[in-house]
Amino acid sequence: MYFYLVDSFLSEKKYEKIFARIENRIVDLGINGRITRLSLLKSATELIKEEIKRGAKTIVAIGNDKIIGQIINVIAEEDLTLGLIPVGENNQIAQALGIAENEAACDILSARRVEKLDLGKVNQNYFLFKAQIQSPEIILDSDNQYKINLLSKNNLITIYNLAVEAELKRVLPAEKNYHCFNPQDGILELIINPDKDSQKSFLKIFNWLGKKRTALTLAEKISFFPIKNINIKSKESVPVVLDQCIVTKTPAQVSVLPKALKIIVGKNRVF
Amino acid sequence: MFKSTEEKNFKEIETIIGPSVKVKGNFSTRGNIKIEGELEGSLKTEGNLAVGKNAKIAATVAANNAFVAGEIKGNVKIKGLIELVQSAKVIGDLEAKEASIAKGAIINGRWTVGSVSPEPAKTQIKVEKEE
Repeated sequence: MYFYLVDSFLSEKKYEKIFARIENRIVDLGINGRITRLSLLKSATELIKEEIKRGAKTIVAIGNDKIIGQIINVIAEEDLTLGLIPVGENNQIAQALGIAENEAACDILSARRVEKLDLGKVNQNYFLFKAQIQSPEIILDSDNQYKINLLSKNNLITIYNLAVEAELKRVLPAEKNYHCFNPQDGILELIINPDKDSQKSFLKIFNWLGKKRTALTLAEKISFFPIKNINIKSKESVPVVLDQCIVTKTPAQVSVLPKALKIIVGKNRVF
Repeated sequence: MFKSTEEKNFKEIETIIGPSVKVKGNFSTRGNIKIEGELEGSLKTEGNLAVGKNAKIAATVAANNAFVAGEIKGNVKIKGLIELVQSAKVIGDLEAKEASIAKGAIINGRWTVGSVSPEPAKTQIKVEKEE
């Protein structure tokens, strides 16, 4: 039994026609079920829990990455399947899973190619795509084996479970091959990127030492660690943003839950 | 030669310790590792190791192959080939099956090249002159 959860932004007039086409395609393909819109009065958690009681086995998110993040935090580790119908902007998760936008996604939903994917966990919250922290002073402790101390003043720390090509090009040096970002390998990818101001301070040090140095390339400045578990500590509690929608705080315990989410994927997925 | 070997061995990088990071403790990995920052403690990998020009390592090091342009303080044990370029500095005992050492590279310690075993083996050193 399908349950369709529609993001509130689809109430905007510009999405009316798209949504109507999606509804028609769902009926045509015989994959219809209850359709409910999110609103300020109805949280995703309440709505999904009600539908699970009614017997829903497949929860379908209609919207962008944000609604997927909310749903994952309700259905993680449950025996349910997640489906996606990406609409609007900011659909990196759907892209990585090879799911076409708007009504074309209904055909992928109907084909029902189900894969089990890893989920990242930060404290009691889950993420499918990435977790991000921007902070000056952070220590990362990996299972008491080693500690990562950050030498620059400000860093963007991102922990990925999966990523699309555009994101990979943005965060990693293009000239290298990485067998990473596979959401089925039981490993998360930790990337530490010092900000531009930190780069300037590095250059000042090099100049002071009499060593000529141009701006650091991406390959020279980032740090990259494959991880399974890591503890994040900071002097002051700082926010950790999961899938751009859920916010938790440090100290944070990060781990990976192998194959914890059943999700419908397309042929053109990146893994 | 160094560059081509480095490219061949390090095409697939699994870990990068960048210049803005200092790692302390026992760092162990299966894949290739590139160090541009600092590492203190011990480093063990079944893959290849690349030590950048500005990297500082104060650790015992064990790897499959190694390309060194920075500084290592500690004993180094390499199963295959170690390449030390002009800027390389190793303060500690070095053991490797094969070595390629550029003019200007510094090794301050006992070095055994030929086989990686408890007994010292015959030396097969290839010293390259750089222009």
